[in-house]
Amino acid sequence: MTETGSVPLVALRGVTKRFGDVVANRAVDLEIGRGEVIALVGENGAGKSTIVNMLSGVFPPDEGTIEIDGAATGFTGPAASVEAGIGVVHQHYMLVPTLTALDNIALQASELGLWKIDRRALGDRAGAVAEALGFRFDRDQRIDSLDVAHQQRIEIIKALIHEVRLLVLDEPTAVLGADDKARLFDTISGLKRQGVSVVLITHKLEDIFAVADRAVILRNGAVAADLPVKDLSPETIVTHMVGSDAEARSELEIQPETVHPEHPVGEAVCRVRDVTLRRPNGSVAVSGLSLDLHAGEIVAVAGVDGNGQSEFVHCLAGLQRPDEGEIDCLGLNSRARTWSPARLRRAGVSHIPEDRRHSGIVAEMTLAKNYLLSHLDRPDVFRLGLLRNHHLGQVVDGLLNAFKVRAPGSGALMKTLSGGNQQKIVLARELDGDPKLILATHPSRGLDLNTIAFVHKTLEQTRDAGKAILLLSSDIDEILKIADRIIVFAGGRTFGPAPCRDLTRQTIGAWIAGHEDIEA
Amino acid sequence: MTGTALRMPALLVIGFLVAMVIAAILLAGADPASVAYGIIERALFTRAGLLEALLRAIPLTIMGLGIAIAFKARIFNIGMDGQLIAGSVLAVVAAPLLPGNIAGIVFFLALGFLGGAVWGGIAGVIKARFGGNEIIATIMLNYVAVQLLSWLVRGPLQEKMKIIPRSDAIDQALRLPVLFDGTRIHAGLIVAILAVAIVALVMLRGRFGYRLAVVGANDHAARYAGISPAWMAAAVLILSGALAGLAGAVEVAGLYGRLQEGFAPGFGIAAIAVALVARLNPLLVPVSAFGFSLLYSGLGALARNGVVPFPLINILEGAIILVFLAATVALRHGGGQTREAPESGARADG
Amino acid sequence: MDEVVFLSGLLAAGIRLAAPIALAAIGETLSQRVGVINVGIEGIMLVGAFIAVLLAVQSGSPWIGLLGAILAGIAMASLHAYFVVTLKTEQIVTGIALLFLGLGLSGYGYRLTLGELGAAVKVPGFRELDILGLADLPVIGPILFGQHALVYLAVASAIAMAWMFRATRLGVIIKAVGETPAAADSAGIHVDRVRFLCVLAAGGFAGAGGAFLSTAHLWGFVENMTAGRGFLAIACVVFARWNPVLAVLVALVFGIADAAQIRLQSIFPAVPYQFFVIAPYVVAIVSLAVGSRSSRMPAALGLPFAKPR
Repeated sequence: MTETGSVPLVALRGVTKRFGDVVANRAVDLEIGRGEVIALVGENGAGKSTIVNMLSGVFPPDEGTIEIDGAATGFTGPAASVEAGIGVVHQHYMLVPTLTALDNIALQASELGLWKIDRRALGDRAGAVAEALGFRFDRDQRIDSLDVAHQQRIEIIKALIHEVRLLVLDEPTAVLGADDKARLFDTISGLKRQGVSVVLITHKLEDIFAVADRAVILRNGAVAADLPVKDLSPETIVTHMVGSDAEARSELEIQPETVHPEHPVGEAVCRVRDVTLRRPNGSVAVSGLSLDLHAGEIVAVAGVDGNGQSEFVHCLAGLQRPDEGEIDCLGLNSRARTWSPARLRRAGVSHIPEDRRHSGIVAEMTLAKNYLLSHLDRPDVFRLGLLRNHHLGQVVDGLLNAFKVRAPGSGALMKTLSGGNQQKIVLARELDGDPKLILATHPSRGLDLNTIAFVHKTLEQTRDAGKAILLLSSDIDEILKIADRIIVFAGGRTFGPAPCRDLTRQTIGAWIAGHEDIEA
Repeated sequence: MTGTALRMPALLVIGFLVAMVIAAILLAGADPASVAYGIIERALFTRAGLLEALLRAIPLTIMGLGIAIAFKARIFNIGMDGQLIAGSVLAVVAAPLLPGNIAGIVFFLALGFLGGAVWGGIAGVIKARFGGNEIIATIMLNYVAVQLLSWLVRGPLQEKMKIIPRSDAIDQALRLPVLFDGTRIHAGLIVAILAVAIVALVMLRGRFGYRLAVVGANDHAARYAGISPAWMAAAVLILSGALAGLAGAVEVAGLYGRLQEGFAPGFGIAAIAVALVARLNPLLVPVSAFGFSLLYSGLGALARNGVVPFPLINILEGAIILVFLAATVALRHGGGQTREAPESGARADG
Repeated sequence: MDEVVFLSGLLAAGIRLAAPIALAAIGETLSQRVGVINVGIEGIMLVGAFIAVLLAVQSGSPWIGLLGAILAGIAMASLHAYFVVTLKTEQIVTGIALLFLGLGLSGYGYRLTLGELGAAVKVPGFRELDILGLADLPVIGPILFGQHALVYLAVASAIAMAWMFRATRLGVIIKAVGETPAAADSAGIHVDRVRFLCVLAAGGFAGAGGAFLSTAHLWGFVENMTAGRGFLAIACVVFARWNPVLAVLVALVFGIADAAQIRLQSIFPAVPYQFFVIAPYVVAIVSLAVGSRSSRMPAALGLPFAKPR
């Protein structure tokens, strides 16, 4: 789309960025033309976020320059980037949950000065932006009462409240359902018509083909390919992303609709009856939820984030109780006093938390001590009430080998490991010691493709060994690949549970969007 | 910003703090070098100074252990002064009922332990059951305990002569025996050593110690792992309160033999300095306690001779804690911290 | 009528006793709203109290003393801010160190200066105002028109701060910094700078609170004269849910409890006075148990902010 000869809107020239010994970006050249939609693609750790952060002025490049309208610029901070006409919607929304939508926009609008905010004028301004995008905008809604899709719209309004010539969207589709995704693509097309350039960061191939003009594929911090989308196929993109490593690619084979072999399904380990769950702000997230989990099956829970899935897993883990209805799990009842994380763990429930860094690990402790987190009752690691450090180290070293964790040993501090290896340790920890029910929440989120393949294989093996697994995921491919049954939470109700082999992607997508079904 | 980028600012502020202490000494018309020498000479090279320091290190060690336990779980118990009073009061009140033998002594100390546990437990219940801030609770309980002691030694517990605001002496048989003739070093030293051993085993090798370290490092991970931070908070406040109460009973049985106002002055917050400088490591607590005690005995002598005003000790305590904090920053290698503000609060799945 | 006089006297005295707590609480509200807890305000108040007396005696004007106390409070707070904001050290531990420092610096300074002169020093303190000559009105006169100037300043600044939080962009910035600093940072706001400045301002308030104690409430300095008021101020902030106007009202409750205990001592001489002295502390403990559950503190309170790398 770039008209040759014209000066690109934004250009990165030979940009290199290092963090300590790690090279995040290596001599990256990237030109963004006016009104162009570029998909920036790559595995985790390929250097996508670093480029976003440099474009938004969070930190400068170590080498090379960023040019705007052909002139080299040195951003002194996020404010300078905004001034240059670059708007960014970060993957983790930069919204203050306790403030209203309008106040979040005011936060960004430095031209308002420090004193009294003219809320009417600002509201009109934001309303105009929202209208141009086709959004409904309730200025006085608090952010924490909105679901992710609406939060994202506030983020986009916030970015566009200023004159924006380049909008950067960091993984905007990761948490959206099919409907919201389609609407986002419409918005992007609308922006393009207005002459705004868009950089769309994604790891989903379908996004690239849906809206992008050009795809820039990063690998190990460098540009592996920079091609018009019409010249690309899914296979070529994957090849560029992972390189020519045949083994790596074989694990990534895209399997559109996996054939699910019959599994012998065991007895129910957990019965959920007429459960209602509320969000932290009191609104009903899901009601009328009934589900049985059996030994030897993987049941997926899907839906747009914020529709009660997290609350459901928290219930099963004993971190909260259902607001209505009840759960029977491995001999414990959710109405009883004994419904606590400790008792459920002892009964055989293990939990791979969705936010690893936040609640899955203790970064300052050794790998061995992190293992202990879920195995404090394991009799052989204590003698006379005292920890047998040496024995524990051996146990954990064994697991590190079995799970192919790249770590110096069980005595290493957790914080020194990469995210993927940390996740493997959490997985190893939670699968060890014969659990009966495994709550796996987004077990592959934020991991690179190789680790994802490993996680999937491990979960399947665990299922085949006769365990019940609840898989919380927003990734339909993942669900179709490994789950046996699926239940979808959307708009306060549930769809399913139904066997995955009877369902198409389209049906699941429709359910996630809150529709009964689409006629095929 | 990485740790190394903060090295210079950290060193700078250490320099400032040292300069501040030197300036304070100069303002008093004293010579910093001779003050330092005076402290060292008195504390380390006189028998009286050394013995005084050892004597003071006994309660400071026991209380420093309590602070180490609490702070390790990130429970900030500022109320050890009150817990110390509660423990010694309970022990003295029940003293007439105790047998006059070694078992009586053990009971006496156990009652001190219990009394401190109860006083710490009040803050524990407020924290665990109602989510009330333990810093405020423990401090308020300090003031309550001080007033109650003031009433007790003038009212129900006052000595029979009714002259001085203090209790009658406890039975001589309940006093902790002196270990070395010609000194006042009492069997509380053994209690302190035992306490160090037990607390070190519990904190470094026990399940409880592991749980409190997890709660302190990442309370979310603790909750997910089935460790209840609220329960731990209560347990930790009870336990550290109990150690303060034990220290109170040791002071009464070892030194004073009775209740009076203002004994163990400021030990509760001094113990915080002790534990922080020991980096919350129970094995280092006695070392740190002895170090601070040397400072007290040395500076106390100088203050009595009018060289410098005694509150210099508080300035030093504050400056030492800050220097330790800054030194930790200066020595940190690159790597980030885990406890930092949430990246984003606005995720619905948070 | 006696009851009315008693009550109005109680209220007027309660306000006087509440003022130092209220001033410190207003500052601490600001500090905690940006995510910094300062448990050392007790130490800052002590230094403020000492400096106020020292400068008032030397200059002959309590206003100079007040100004000095505010500056000293800011200086003490700058140490806290430097540690917790710049060096990102543990806030509680740093605050405890500040408490030691304040205790030491005020006591040490006092003994070197005024303490040497003994009780003979005459402190030129603040007198109550008599606004429009209405202070002598029965009942409401002393309460509404006969307070110290600082009392009116405290109420005015609490209202101004509440308005700032509600209506201004500065208020939005402060709330964002204490709630989701990453969001504030990405909006181009210098999180650490905002925090630093707010902590300094909070120190100024605490210094003024100390000055009130030693030049308005009493005319003179006594070592450790704050007697836990700094901590009561922190309690006020929590009970008031980080609202400055409510913080002043909570401080008033403590002040009235304090005023009441003094009066009750003389009414009930048979009851040991200590039971009355503990009243405000017991009030604090009970309200801590009753009022904490539903409060929601700023999400980033106590947590350092590290810019993304």
